[in-house]
Amino acid sequence: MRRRVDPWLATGLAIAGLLLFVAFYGDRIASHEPIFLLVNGPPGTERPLPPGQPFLFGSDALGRDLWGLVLVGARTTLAIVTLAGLARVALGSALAILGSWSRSARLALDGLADLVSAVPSTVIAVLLVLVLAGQGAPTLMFAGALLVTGWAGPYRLLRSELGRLRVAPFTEGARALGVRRPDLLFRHHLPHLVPVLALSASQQIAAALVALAELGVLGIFVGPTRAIVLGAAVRGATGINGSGLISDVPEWGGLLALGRGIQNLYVTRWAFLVPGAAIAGSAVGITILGVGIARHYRRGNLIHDLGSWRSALALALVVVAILPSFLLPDRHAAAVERAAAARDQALIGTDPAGILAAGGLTLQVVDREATKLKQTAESHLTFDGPNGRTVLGEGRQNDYLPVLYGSASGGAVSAPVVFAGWGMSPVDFPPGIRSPFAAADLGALISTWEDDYAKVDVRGKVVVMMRLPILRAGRSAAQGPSPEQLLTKAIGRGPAAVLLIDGSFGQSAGFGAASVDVYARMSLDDPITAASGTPVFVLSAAAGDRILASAGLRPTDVLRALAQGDVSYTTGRSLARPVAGTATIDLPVGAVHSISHSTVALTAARADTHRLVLWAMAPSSVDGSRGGADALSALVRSIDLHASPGLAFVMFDPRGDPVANAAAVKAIIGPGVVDAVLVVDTLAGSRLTFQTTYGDLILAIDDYASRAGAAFARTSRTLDPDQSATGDLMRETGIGAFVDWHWILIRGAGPSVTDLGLRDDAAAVLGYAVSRFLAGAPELVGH
Amino acid sequence: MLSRLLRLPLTVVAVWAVLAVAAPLAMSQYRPFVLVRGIGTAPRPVSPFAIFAAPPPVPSVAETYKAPLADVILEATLRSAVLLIGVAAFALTLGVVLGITAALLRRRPAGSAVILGSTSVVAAIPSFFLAYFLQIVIIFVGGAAGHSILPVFGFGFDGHLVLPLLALAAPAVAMTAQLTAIRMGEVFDADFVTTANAKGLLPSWIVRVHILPHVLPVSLEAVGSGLRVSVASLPIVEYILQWNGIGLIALQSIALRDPAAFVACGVVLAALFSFASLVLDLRPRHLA
Repeated sequence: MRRRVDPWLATGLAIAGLLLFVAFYGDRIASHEPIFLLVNGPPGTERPLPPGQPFLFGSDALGRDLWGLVLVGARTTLAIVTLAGLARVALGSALAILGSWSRSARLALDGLADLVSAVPSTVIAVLLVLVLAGQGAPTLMFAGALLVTGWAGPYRLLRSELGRLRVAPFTEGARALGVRRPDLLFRHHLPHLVPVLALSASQQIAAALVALAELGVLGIFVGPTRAIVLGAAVRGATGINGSGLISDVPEWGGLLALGRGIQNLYVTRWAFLVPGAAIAGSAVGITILGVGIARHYRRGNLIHDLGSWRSALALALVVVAILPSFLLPDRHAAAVERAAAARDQALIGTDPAGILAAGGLTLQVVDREATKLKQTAESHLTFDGPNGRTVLGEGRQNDYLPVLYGSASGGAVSAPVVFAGWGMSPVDFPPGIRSPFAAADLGALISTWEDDYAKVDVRGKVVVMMRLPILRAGRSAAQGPSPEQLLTKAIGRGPAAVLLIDGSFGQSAGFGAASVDVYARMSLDDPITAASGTPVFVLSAAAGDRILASAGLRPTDVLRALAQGDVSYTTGRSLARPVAGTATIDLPVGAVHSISHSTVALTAARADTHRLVLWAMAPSSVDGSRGGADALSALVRSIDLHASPGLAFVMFDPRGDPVANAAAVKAIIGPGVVDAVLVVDTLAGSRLTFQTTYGDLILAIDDYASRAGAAFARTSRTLDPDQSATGDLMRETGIGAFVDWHWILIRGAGPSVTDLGLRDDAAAVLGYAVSRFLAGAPELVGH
Repeated sequence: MLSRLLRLPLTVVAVWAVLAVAAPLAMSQYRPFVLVRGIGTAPRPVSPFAIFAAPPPVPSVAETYKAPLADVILEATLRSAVLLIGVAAFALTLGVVLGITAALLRRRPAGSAVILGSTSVVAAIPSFFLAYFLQIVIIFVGGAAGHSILPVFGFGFDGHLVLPLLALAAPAVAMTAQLTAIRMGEVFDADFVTTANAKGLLPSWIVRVHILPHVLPVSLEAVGSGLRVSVASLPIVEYILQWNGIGLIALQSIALRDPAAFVACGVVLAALFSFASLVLDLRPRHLA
């Protein structure tokens, strides 16, 4: 009689087959790749996009296709949880066998199992994942974290089953016949253990899946993360979320982490529901499969079945089903080929302009001359006081920085020092119009203060003063004066130089860096106009301590007290006082003349006016090298320029005024939609790095580099355009001129390995990007 | 019996000893973070970059709740204990009734299969998803009715109890129903039941007097297993539904790197878990 297939087993096998198919083919059947972020959808659509068009199951907070993410993430997720679940069963089984052979081991293991299973595994897993984070190999780390407590369940189950089998009559019979322990285990007991093992494995895999999901719900990621901020990329409607930490490992738990938040309960339910349903469905499916196998082998013999033609056929079917996923060409095989072609053309010391001209493109030249006042050498600041000489150092992580803004200037000065307290005078800050709706007015709060400049004569002296960040008076508080106001008022009183102590200078936290950026911005918005006059430095509080020690004041203490709400230094009594000692300052500032020579070549315009700009820094803004130009040459040689519409090649010379030079180049590229600007700078080093303020491009560029086979460092975060370092970067490279274009800066990092540097890797990335652009890749042309 | 009774305090002491040594060491290995109130009251960061910045100095659990740690733990334990008592009551009543129903329907395979199949699926659904799904269902129904039916998160000994109780009780009820039905099916086939039927005893009498005494101990055991599952799901369910019980405090203490609070939570959770195991062990075996 034909045996009826158990419905549990049939359902379980069907679900397992489906999961297996998704795991191996998910990335191919996903209609949208996870690197495509739809940040500016059709009017009326906001991220997360609701289910419908263009994404069937909606998008996540960053505008990625949720269904595509689930499909692509299936492989990693199922691999992680299968590994973790099977590791639990393997360890539990091994210990159970050990316990069944030795009574003392059993007693110890029983106690240990009681102990590790007493605290919920979620709590322990959270703690262990946090502890092990950053140890590399996220999959092994996750499996290890779950293994610490997870072996106890399978151990208990297996041990009780082995205990039952140990006293079974057939065991006694086998023993009497002299069957050895391993033979007894594998030949006689294992067939009986199959139902328990199957049930246990399915339970543990499902438990690992749930643990992964719970970590995601708690916002804890398995493995490294990326910080994606879309602020710069979105125009107009920004959607609910403009930023998110996403898991670098494409797994479903990370999708849950991004899908949290109050709005996901009331408005954007799909963001949590879609990955949640995938996890819940898989967990149920795996459990059903376990139950099905357990039911099937309650009376059957696995060992017998494994040797049958049916199992051979099933195995063959699985292999035939999986094999194509390894044999099929890459999804973007054409782009990979073009990347390889560009890589092969990489040489040193090439001239892309000549190659472009030979290719029939018209070259347009941007020659610019500029003369700018700049700091020409390192500055010096020494203080000779009663305690001897103090030499201070220039630098953001050091004691001071020169402030090269309009009212200040360079020059050499040696003069006595006076301390002007907060540099406040009621005359400088008259009370504003009183309004019950306005914030507290600084002028009104200091109207009764002593004039700091009345207590000391600053003319011809080096004035030291502190920046007042905030002024608290009773229940009201006002922002202190801006550094520009403070410095300009001080310079107007005729000092030889001004040293402003800023409490946030030199702090490693973001706040300090952002505050120092105020001075960089002052220099940019209102550049220095005189080579000699009144030098101005901004000092750290610690540097202020060293100068003012003899005057009996420690700015560190004063500013710390102020930050903690202590108002004893802001009562209105002036802190100004003379300081015994002389400061010697030398800030060399001079006119720097420069000539820059940039070249632009455009291929034919596309009907949709979209353009991809390939921008080589020649010379590099970092080390003057011309690796970027070589990478561009390699790319140009590898493509048919006439069959590649919409490309713009730029050999950019940043010397002189990079931002103005770049603005002139931008004008030549002209109107139209620029999808991306790939800026290639120095290529010295062992791996490429990518930097951008456009969060929507981070995933794409890393994916391109990976598929193009380039050595690169994972891009883990979006640059913050408000950070001083980003501002410096954009000024030095000229990117400041085209902030409205999606740009990526490609640079080499680390020690150089070959003479070629990273020219071949950069050329490969450019080749891949060009191919994807020409194919209309949504991640490039769809945002 | 004494050894089984002793197991609870022994386990608790062992958990305390291990955590007291391991927790401070483990917590020195990572940076504290703010456990964002998940599907609850997540405040939006002012700057999109703020979520990636170094977190501000984090307070201890006691400072967060502005109460001595012992009070916080005691209150949280009480809140979680109420949920677990509710779970046990649910499992004992609803679970047993469902199990008996499934067993009585054994001559009608469709009805029995529906009950057993659905309980199997419910037992396999992850509790975090069940909690979230229940929230959405309540919001949907509330939206259709035009007014709020139940609070979907937060603490309170009122309507707030419903969702955490349902999310935690579902697997316990499902397990109890399944084991009860299976055991009852076995007893139905026993010779003494056949004999009782042959003697013409009333079916209700047979079930009450001859079958149930053999089934209930197994049901009690199933309740114990279900309770262990509920204790294991406590942290995530309490987190999603923002029920300030011992599970949520345990997660917060990890985020805030507060070893004292973590050890206390671990000990309480271990005590609850061991108590559930004790229920499982102390079933009246002579009845089985």
